[in-house]
Amino acid sequence: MSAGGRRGPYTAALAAVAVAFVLPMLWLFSVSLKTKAGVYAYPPQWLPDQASLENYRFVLRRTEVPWYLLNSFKVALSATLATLILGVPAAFVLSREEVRGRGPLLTGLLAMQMVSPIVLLVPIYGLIGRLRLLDTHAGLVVVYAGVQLPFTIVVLKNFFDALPTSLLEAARLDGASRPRVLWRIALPLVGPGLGATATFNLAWYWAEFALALVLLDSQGHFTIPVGLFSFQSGYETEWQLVAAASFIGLVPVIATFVLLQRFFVSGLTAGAVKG
Amino acid sequence: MRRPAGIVVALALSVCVSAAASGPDAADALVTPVRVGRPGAPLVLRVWAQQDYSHLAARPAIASVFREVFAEWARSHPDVQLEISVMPALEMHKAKLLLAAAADRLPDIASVDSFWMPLFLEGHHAQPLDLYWPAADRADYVPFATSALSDQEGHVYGMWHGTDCRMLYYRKDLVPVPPKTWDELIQAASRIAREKHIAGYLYNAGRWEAAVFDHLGMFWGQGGQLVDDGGRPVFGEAPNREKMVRVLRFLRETVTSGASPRAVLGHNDYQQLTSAAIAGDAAMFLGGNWQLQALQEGLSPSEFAKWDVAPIPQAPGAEETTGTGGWVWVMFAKDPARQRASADFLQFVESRANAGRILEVTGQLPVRRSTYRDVAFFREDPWYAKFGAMVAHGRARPGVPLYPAISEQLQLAVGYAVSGDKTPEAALDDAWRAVQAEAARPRAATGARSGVDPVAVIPMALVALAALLLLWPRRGAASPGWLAPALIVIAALVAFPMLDLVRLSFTNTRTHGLAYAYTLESYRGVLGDPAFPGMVAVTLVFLAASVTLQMGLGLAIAVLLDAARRHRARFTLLARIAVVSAWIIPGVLVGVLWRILLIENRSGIVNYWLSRIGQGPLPLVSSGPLALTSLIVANGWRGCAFSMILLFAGLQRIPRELHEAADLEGLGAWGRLRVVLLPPLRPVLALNLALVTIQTLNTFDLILPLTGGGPARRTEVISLFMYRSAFASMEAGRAAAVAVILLVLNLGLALIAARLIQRGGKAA
Repeated sequence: MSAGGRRGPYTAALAAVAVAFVLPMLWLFSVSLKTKAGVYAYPPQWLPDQASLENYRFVLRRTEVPWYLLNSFKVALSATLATLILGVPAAFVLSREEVRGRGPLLTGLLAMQMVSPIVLLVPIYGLIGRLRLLDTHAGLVVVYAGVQLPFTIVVLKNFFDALPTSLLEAARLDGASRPRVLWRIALPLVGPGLGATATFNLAWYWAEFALALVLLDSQGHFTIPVGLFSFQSGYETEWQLVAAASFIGLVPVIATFVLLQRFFVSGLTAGAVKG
Repeated sequence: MRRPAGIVVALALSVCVSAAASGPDAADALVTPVRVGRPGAPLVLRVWAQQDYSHLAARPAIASVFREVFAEWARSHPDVQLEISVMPALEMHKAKLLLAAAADRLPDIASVDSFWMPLFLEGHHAQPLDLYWPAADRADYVPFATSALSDQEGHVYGMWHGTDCRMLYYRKDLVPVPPKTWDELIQAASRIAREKHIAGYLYNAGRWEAAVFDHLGMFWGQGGQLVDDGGRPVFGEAPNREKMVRVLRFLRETVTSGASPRAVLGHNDYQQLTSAAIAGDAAMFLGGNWQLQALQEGLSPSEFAKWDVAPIPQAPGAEETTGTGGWVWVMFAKDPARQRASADFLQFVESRANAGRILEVTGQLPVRRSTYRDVAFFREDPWYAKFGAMVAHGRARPGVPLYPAISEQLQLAVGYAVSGDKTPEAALDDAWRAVQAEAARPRAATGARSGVDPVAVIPMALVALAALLLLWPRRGAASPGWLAPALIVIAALVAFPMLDLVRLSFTNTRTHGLAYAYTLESYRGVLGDPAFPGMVAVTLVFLAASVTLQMGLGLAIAVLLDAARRHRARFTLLARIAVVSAWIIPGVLVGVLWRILLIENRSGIVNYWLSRIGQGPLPLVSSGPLALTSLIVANGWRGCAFSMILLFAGLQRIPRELHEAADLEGLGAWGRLRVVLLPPLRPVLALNLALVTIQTLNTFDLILPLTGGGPARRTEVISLFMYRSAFASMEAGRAAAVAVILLVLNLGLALIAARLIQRGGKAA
């Protein structure tokens, strides 16, 4: 039996899997094009008779959804940037230089990376309250950076570990300073690693719900997940509007993911498997 | 792959661009969803409004009246702008207000449910409005609207903006004579349900205020009392206990007799009742006067003509009674200039002219006498004559700070009784015990704890010490400058909260109170909570089923992908992207998406398919076991990608020769899995198990939008239990105790996973 000889059944099975995962999202899109009557029409239609983008127009013009989008972009991008700026030097030093207590520190980081921030909602709420940062994006970004730093450092350290020692040492012997070695030699070589962690963090920040729910108060400050949750309660029976708002929140994630999926998957496996 | 990706990106960009470009056009410039007024205006007032009483209301008619009123206000007040935030979920609105009060960051103005007023008067948060609000205008209000909000010195602390009452809506063509008693109601409703295959009688039994308040009329009608004159709860004692048990027994009977579907357990919004009526799916429902408008808008005139209203059916011999509530504007601003601007805004919105216009579309009952007299709509409309007659039998909820706790417990009792999980007697007695325990607790003190708490310093000192030890400069070691910023952030935002959590769990602190004492009360309270065993059971079922499903699906897809790759089948990348995209989208979105897939009538897509195979429509989110199943399936759909990625990576490391050998041996699929694939995969599977267990244990984002933990508490897993304790019941100490349990489980599993990772790293 030659490889490729029986690819038909596999192709069919894979198509079925893809359909099972894409179909619910297509249904969401279909509902978002319907009128209220269309949502309750029987039998349900995949291609609604009176399909229109009216729900999108309403959601984007008459509700807070554009603010949610903007806030999410702002928070996710600043948190990703903050995490990289703090994490890269730390990971580089941990990988390349002698650090006291490296073993316990790494185990601690690895463990902290896996503890969900849900567990810490109450003390984090108290802390951010005392810092007078409730209902601010700054407060959320600081917490996000703290929560994802252990993961970021662990993954980046692995990428730095993989660089040939000789290369960096040669540069040091040539008199290059540490920042220069990092910036000029190490960083360009771990580009894929940076991309992987940044993409993963970006997705994580975009999706984060519990902390944002607890730390933010004003609709004008909500990010997409909290905003959508509140939108769903507010427009409980207007499912066509809820679907349109959800689809708007879904598109940037899927688009980014499709573009960067190579980075994303490698980041995930790097963080979870290689350790 | 390049082209589809390009299309998706183009779509994404176009959506984003149109989002950005759809900024307010000229006419809307003064009224945007989050701001009202000139953007540069120097005075910014923060307003927490009600979604259904604002320009963001779901009903277009309400939204447009408010847009007009707000725009008029903005044009005449160029120096003030409002930062408006609406709180759609009642529970969240109240919790956020209480937390804001504790943190001294209340908005300038808020609209609150009238029965929350005691909470804001108690802490002296509500500010008197009478300084800015002429007595002549106040005299226009019906007496209870000002007297209920006044103190002994005659200060008025709120501006009532509409009241309401509850009643029976019924279809005259199906129910010629409206039922007066429970028996008549059940008889009529179960007959219709049998004959017409629609719901005979619908009502709110979801976990929210209305599930209790709607039915209090039936309790009061029998002469029942929730609290005595001193404000002490008495509803669980004779003679009140029997009266409340009768109400619960009646509610249970609505379901057992077939008069009402179990779906009433999922009703946590009046709009659900209206929608069912509009869809022709209900013959009667217990609703409020404000639903009339939505019914009229949603139905054709001939269909609408079939509907009428009647007083709430009662126990035999009981008196006609209905609950009246309503909303109140409260001013929290303390600064005189902000107070003046706030009071001015409220008087503008609630002026005689505007109040009439607004209430005409919101469907609430006016509180201004002049509205009934001067506005033709209220003067002439026959419906409002009926509502007016019913309000005369109205009764408001007791204005005691304990009422919310009583309601919260009775909500659970209604859920348990209707679902049949507990007998009406047991459901009520459990609620009574919980309320008594609550009443015995000292009220949340709002004053600061006196002096410094030396114990509170310990977590901080420990974390600082550890950081110092790691970072202390020594010869030959890296200078700490590169490590310090990251470690300090981690120490402050992860390590310190972990230790502080443990400290908090040994206190009885309230989320919105500052005073606390060190005690074991929280652990005792959590372990003794009657809801605790149920929560543990739900969590364990969810955990076991969800982990199995995720790993099973993940393994199946990974093996399929691996085999397909070896056979050079097409669509491997496509399938991978499809599976992973379910995992990458925010959990809240997955929850909302599944909520839409699972819509509980025959037009919901899953229910449509189920009914095509003769199995539906089913109460997929409103029956306990089905809701938990839905949650597990949704979480499996979302989460299996993670296992798939890990296991697929593991499978690819299996040498090709092993597969070739298996081909030569002619091994079947099962044999290949057992002999070739699983043995080398064992360490990855172990790691996967640990990681998926942690993730599932902490699942939160998907549950809140999908089931909200309901019906009753049948899908309330540990994370949600913890969140509710801290941010709905305000029991930070107890929440911390639960979180400590969660933390121990998290850390234990994380250490196992870390060990597995390090071992795998050494072997590789």
